[in-house]
Amino acid sequence: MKALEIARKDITVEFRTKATLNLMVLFSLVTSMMFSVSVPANIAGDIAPALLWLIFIFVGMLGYARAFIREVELETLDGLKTAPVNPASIVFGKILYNITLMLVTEAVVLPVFIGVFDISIAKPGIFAGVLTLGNIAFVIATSSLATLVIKSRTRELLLPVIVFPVIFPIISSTIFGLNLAMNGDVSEIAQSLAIITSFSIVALVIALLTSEYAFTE
Amino acid sequence: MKAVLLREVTKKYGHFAAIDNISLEVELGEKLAILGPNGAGKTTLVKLISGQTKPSSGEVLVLGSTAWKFNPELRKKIGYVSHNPMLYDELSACENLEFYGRLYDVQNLEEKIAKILRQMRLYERRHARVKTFSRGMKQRLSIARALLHDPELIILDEPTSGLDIEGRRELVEHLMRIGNKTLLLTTHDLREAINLCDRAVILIDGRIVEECSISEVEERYMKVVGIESP
Ligand SMILES: Nc1ncnc2c1ncn2[C@@H]1O[C@H](COP(=O)(O)OP(=O)(O)OP(=O)(O)O)[C@@H](O)[C@H]1O
Ligand SMILES: [Mg+2]
Repeated sequence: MKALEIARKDITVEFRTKATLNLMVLFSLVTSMMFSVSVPANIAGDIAPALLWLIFIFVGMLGYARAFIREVELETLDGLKTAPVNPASIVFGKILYNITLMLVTEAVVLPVFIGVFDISIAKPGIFAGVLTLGNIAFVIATSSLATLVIKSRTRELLLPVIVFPVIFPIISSTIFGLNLAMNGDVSEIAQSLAIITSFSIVALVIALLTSEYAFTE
Repeated sequence: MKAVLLREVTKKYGHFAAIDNISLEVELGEKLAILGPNGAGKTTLVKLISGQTKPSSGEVLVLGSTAWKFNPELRKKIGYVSHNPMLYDELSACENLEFYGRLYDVQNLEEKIAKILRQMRLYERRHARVKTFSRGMKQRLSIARALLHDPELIILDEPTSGLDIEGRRELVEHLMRIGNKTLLLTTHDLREAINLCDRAVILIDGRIVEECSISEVEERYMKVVGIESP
């Protein structure tokens, strides 16, 4: 699978410089600390899921678009565009790479966040699962929009503006699901999971379908 | 079958025609120099042929297939070098070639990489990261990258820009040994074109203003571009 080659190449490059990863992890640790000291303890439990998501959204905005923008800026994208690689595989490779970045960030940040907020989570497994699923949906949506804006001169500025309205359903469903997992009553969780999953699938299909347009000048 | 066939091709950026109604035929095995002053449209022309851009009108056929439509079999037959090396700085020379080699489904990859790195005199530095390479080494690696999958059509967009005299001579000598492959070369160096090509087209403002055999190129170039070559 060529997408795997592309993801592997990006992961190798990233783990050598750690430029994006350091930025993502540091940013999320700093914001976790800031939130923990500025939010009163009695409401911390109620808003923790929303804050956690907020951190991942900002960190994702910093990190995920880099995978494309770096190739555009270094003009290595021309090398991929002239290679016998389907545009959809290029986009899929970038999504796989971004999911890896996200998982690493999540693995570092989640324990720290739970620690500093001192919150108790009734169903930690489900909590982590919902968070990961929401993050995957977010990665897919951001990556597909990043594909669309690479032609634009203002790509890095344009992306955040168009991402938020698009991902609103993922934000609200994930926060809802995280709250349920925290409180332990997960009987209604299937609905949020269904929304997040179907959103991811739609975003993925759109990303793959528009990839060819994005790569032809 | 022609190696390259352009029929009334125009490429517009907004209202501006970077390529203006060009028709061109290149035979298999032919070596064509694409000359012209800055901004004449040379890069745009080779981007059309390498399938990176879609013409606004007209038809671009490369080895019998429409160039801009994604076609992995066609892509595998083209080797493209632009003035930017298209390499990953954080990867070593070897890793860069391994990555591209896998994208091109190259068989016996390790063997071929070793061979081409030796030819390009980069074998000793094969495990060094590309960011530690000089401009000339990067350019040689970029050419190795383009030739690794043994393409039938080689497209070189100013391959010697940024190289010193020695680097240029070496590269030209290497390219003189590519045998019966089809070559498209854009350059500002007439001597390079004369050493490597059989025929030349001269572009000005997106049009082919002159088409001639390489023996006449100096005289024609002076006439249409109006200045002596460097
Ligand atoms: N993406 C683009 N958008 C708008 N205009 C472009 C674009 N690419 C090229 N052009 C214009 O098309 C014309 C031809 O450019 P091109 O790069 O093909 O010239 P060139 O012959 O390769 O020049 P040089 O010798 O400097 O490399 C120029 O006027 C350039 O400004
Ligand atoms: Mg050019």
